[in-house]
Amino acid sequence: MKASSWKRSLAASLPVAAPGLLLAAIPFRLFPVCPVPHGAAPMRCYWSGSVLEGFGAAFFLVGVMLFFARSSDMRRGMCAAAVLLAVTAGMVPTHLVGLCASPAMPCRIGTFPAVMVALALIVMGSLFVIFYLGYIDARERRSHEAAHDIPNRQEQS
Amino acid sequence: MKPLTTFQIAKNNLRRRPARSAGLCMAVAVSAFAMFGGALLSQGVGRGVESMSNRLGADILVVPHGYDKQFQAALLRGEPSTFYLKGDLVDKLRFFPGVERAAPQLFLATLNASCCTMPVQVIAYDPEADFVVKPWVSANAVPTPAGDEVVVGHMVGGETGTEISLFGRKFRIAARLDRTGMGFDTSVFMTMGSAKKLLRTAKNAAVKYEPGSVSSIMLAVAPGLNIKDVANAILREYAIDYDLEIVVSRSMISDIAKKLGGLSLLSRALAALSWICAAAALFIFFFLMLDERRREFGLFRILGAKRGKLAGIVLYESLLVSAAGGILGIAAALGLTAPFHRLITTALELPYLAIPAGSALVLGAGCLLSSVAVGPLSCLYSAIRIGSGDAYLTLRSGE
Amino acid sequence: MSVLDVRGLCKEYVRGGVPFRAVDSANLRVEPGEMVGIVGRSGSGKTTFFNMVAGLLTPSAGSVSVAGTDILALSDAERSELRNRRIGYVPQGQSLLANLTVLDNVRLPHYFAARDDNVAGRVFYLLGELGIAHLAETCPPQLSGGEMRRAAIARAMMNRPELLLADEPTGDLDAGNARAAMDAFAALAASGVAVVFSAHGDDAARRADRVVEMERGAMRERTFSEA
Repeated sequence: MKASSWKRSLAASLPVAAPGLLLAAIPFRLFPVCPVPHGAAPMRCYWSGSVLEGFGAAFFLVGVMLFFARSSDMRRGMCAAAVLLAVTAGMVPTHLVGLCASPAMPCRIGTFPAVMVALALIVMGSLFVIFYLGYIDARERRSHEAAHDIPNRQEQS
Repeated sequence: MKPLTTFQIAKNNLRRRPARSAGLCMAVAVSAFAMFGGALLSQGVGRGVESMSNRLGADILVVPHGYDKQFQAALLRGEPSTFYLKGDLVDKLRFFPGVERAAPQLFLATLNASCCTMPVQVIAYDPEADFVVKPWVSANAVPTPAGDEVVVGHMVGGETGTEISLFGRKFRIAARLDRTGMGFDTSVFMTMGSAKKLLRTAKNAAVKYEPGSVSSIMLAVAPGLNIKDVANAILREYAIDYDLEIVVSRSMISDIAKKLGGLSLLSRALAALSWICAAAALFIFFFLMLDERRREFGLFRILGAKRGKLAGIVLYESLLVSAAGGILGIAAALGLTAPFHRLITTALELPYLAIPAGSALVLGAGCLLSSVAVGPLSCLYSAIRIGSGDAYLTLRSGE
Repeated sequence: MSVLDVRGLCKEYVRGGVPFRAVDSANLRVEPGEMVGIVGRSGSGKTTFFNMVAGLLTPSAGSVSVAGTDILALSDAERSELRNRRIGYVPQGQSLLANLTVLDNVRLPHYFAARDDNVAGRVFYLLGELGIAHLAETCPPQLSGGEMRRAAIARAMMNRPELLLADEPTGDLDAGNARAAMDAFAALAASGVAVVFSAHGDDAARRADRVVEMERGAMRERTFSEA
């Protein structure tokens, strides 16, 4: 892999993989959900945390796949899917599974904001890959075509 | 075809050295983050302290000996506690020389409320005598809660009109109070009568209650008298018999204000230091860049660029770097302070009340301006130097 | 009126404590539409001469007049403006900016002139005349030496100068590209632009209307019998 394309692959991969890893670590390591009461069933935030841990691992894998993606179109497609996944993941603590009711609980003051920040980073990273890297790829393609294509056309004419 | 602009030329120049440009941008971003984030936090704590001192109408707080820390924790952070004083002290203090008013409260910690295992602080007050909690509850246009009603702090779960379970009994949430930045936000308020009735029938055997007990007595000292003198007199008279302790609210507030002062000083020092570091990094970068790009600038002079134009290009580049860094830093500060402010202030053990959006906007604009200015100010010297001397020598010196 | 009128031009340096004249009492007059070649070895003073004519270097003595304007009487800002509007300069070697496309490189003089008129027509006309219109969106690192030189010529002609100075325009080009560059100069001269270029040897100088020799800073016009 050429140095410039290696850098491009990393630039496409990191903005999704790194926040994905962060998301996976948040619910039970970085900003843990409410502790499970002794002898009682885990609360809603525990299950939200488990689902989000899975989502985080998925985003990390998407990031790894982005590193090996060859075409700009493939990268854009994967990042568009990542945006939709992130929106779905955001609905886990708010609608799909939920958190504890009291606003003062650890899952509300720590876990939830951290999850939202991580998901926002994933969305921003994906949009960066879709629009900015996509624009760079298109510009290079145009420049390359202009430099190498037209002399052939002149010979033909 | 879009016209060629200084912005495009500056942008392309920065893009040529992406790592270096990104590094400079990050230096400015760190400075902006420290400035804005620090200001948001310290101003929020300042508002919290002000809110607290406005609400604490009492001059003296009488609590059981050894429970002053728990009392402050309950007041500031809503960390639930249960503690008792003999109730007959209330009347004795009401008529103590120098005391204008006395109001008892009962502080009770539940094991759980509504759903979760986090305890909730219950604060019971005497609607007839109280002058601390009642005015504030009334200020929220909330009538005194009836026998099976409670008024909840801003951060207690449950909608108005729904039920909350305390000590195995159900109470209706009559109203939710505005945010205070203090422990009141996570407390539940009821009348003393409701609390005493509740405790007589409490299902939680761990809650031992001697009828007539109170947890604390808040005293207002008559105007013109020295509060510490009255406090000392009370201690001399009753400390041994009632095993009590005195907290002078002004001292408590001034201790907290000192912590706030320390926090503000630290955040300002960090902000200033990071601004200086960013300015130094930009100065060094543009100084070195000048030598690297002498040939390029010599070429511009050959094409007819005036000295001022060259300086303008360099200043524009620095402006782009510092503007990007400033926006990034402020966005990061907002993105972290806003969602995490409850976590931060719980860790700091200080009251916190977020500043209004308008004030935050003005603050943000000021921090952005300061960050944006760091670029052009740092490279001013280089910008002036760039066009000096014969253009030909400038061109040759770059070879 | 001559486009270029140089009289008694000198540039003195001190090298190792000894005064040294890079250009020694040079005289040259160029009319509109004339193509003049300055021939000399490396170090003969050609580049120093060019830079004084363009107002990029302050002479030690003498005068330079471009289109009737005494360059030395102008301020730095006025000289910059003269250079931008009335003189086109093709520097020695590669002089395009790597981070701008050919299109942006060529319209740099227009940008420095801070004019509002539509530049697109002029740019594409010049690129077309020089056979590099298809490279407008390409960046210099992807171009050949000849293509870059033609882009530099287009840039020099952007603001319709009366005088074109080209410092060794064919020095680093192969025969084909060198010929193409000289063809471009000839076409410009035919359109009324005064062209002055420098070269090491006679190959390029053969295309000139007049040849001036430069040796150790001194300038001497080559007569017909020597040509």
